[in-house]
Amino acid sequence: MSGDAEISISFSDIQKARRVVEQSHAVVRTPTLLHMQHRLGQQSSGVDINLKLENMQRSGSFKMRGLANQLAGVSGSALDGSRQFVTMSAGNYGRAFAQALNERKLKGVVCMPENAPANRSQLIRGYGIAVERMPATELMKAVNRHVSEDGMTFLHPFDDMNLIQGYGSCGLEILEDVPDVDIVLVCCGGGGFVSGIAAAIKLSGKTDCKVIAVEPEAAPSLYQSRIDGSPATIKPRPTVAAGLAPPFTGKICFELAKQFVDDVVLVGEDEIISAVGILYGIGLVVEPSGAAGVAALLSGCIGDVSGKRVVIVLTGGNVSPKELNSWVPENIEK
Amino acid sequence: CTRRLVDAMSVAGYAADFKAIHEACARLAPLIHRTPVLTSRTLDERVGRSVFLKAESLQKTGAFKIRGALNAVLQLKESNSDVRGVATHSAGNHGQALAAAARKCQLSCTVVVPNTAPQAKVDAIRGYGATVVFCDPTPQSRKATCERVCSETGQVFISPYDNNDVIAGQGTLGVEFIEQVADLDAIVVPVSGGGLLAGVALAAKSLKPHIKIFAAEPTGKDLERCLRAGERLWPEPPRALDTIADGLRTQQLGQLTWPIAKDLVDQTVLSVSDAETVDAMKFVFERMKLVVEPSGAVPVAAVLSDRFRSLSSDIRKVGLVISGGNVSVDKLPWMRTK
Repeated sequence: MSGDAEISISFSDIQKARRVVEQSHAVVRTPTLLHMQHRLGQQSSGVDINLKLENMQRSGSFKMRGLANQLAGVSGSALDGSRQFVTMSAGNYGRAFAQALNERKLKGVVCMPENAPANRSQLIRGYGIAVERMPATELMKAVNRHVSEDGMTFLHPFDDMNLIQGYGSCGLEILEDVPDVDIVLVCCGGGGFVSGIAAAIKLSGKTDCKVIAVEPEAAPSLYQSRIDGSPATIKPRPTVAAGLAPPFTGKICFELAKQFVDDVVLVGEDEIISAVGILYGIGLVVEPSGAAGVAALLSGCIGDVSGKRVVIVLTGGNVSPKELNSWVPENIEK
Repeated sequence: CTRRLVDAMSVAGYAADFKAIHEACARLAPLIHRTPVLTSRTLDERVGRSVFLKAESLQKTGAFKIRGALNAVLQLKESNSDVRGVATHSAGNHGQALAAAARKCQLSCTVVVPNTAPQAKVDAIRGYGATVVFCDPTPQSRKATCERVCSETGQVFISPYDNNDVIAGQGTLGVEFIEQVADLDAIVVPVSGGGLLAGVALAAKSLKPHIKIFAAEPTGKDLERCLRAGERLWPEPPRALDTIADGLRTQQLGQLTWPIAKDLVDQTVLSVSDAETVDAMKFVFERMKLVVEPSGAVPVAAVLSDRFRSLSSDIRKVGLVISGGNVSVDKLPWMRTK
């Protein structure tokens, strides 16, 4: 395979991670809703749409899959409670991190950008995990200090091979739920989830299945990286899909995406919000970052899907009624 | 034992029987979703048992009502090729379902709606091409207005619950549930006119005679007193309940549904308050990422109650019928309390 020789992933890595995930109490096998094209108003386009409900994953997003495998990859001594864990995240990774550590009676610190909403800190502190708020530019420095001075173990929120292998478990489930899948749409922030899913699907032998990453137009980090031919650093514009707007694409994510992800498409804010509303209307709580895949399909930017079997992953559902109402003002018609 | 119960049920002269339900399953299969059964570890821990949620909020039209409505309309068309259209009175979900079923079968449809019904439900009914006629929010006004509509239009009245084919259609949910979850010890069903309760009870008891069927009601329905007495003790004229569960406002069970409930439903009825219902909605929204309307959250509130907790520990696996998810995003009732 082309790409950096140090960064590669094998099918047995993914299978091993899948076993870890299956045995982990922290992760559940989420449902796939089949043949939802009618409910999404797409019955006349001849597409078969199936929704993988990672919004119903424990902690409200797919992140637990990666965390379970990350923690399994940590040496036993770090899991006995004598050391703490540290990460940096404003969003769903931090939330899953806190929940996972709490369940194992471990302690840690989340370094959080100071502009993150206050309720994020409260939620994480509720799990007995400390939160340190600071300018985003200080995050990496703070993490490094905790590692070198306090002996903490750093869990990277997205650019981590164990994490990505854990995410691959979702790809294997998709293949079991929809064996003849043609296209998989995955919302993309750092690129770890889409890379893990893509690697699992392609390495299993289903190389004719297209895996497509969906990013907000306001934060096209992987899109830009592919144009540049190297991991890009971008300045994200404000977006409702806050979980899909990291300031850079990680090196591991870039390499794996290069090997396994077929395409990256971009969606606009209105399209994302509209998808959130439509999904609410069929009874699903999906946050904007989690609805980007549906937004991409409904906006037509996936191209000709007639006769195709599509799986769209709803990546998260951590959104409040207050937030929903601020974005989706009208009554939802059912 | 199975044989005796099934025989007893067919002799009893109920409005529907397992044969009708079984046929309805085949009739409806290409037209509706086989909705998923969802679980939550947190809910299991809080309830102290294994809880399974049949997510009819994910059904076509957003509620289980499409099962009964479609079955009734298909059967009507089959038996009466001249039929012009259908009509009903409904606070929302049955009206929507009938409108959708009528459109599918190319029949006209009128729905009589209490003027207190949520706007979203009224819009949805119109969205399926049905005509909406408003009435006062009393059972008498619903009935009288609907009778007038039927005589004026020639449309056939399809009761939300007192109709053999509606009951059989709702029963298909019970069949699916038993197929999807092995060894269910009990099913908790929200109850209004009793169509869902009767259908699910018939289906479930036919397949598993020892399964317990619990009704979950908004406070004030008083179903337990009636079941224990074996008599319809509700006051006349029929009343509407004052409850946040807008789909469960009919106090009395129907004439066809009552005999079934009296025989097959457990005499312990789980009664829940508005506050408990709202808490349950919030839980399901936040933890399970499901949009559930108040009526649909009533079974969840019911199993979280002290009364349910005190029931026999033999009830290890309990199924909940989450009847619907038709609630506007701006009407989620716990928004203001935060």
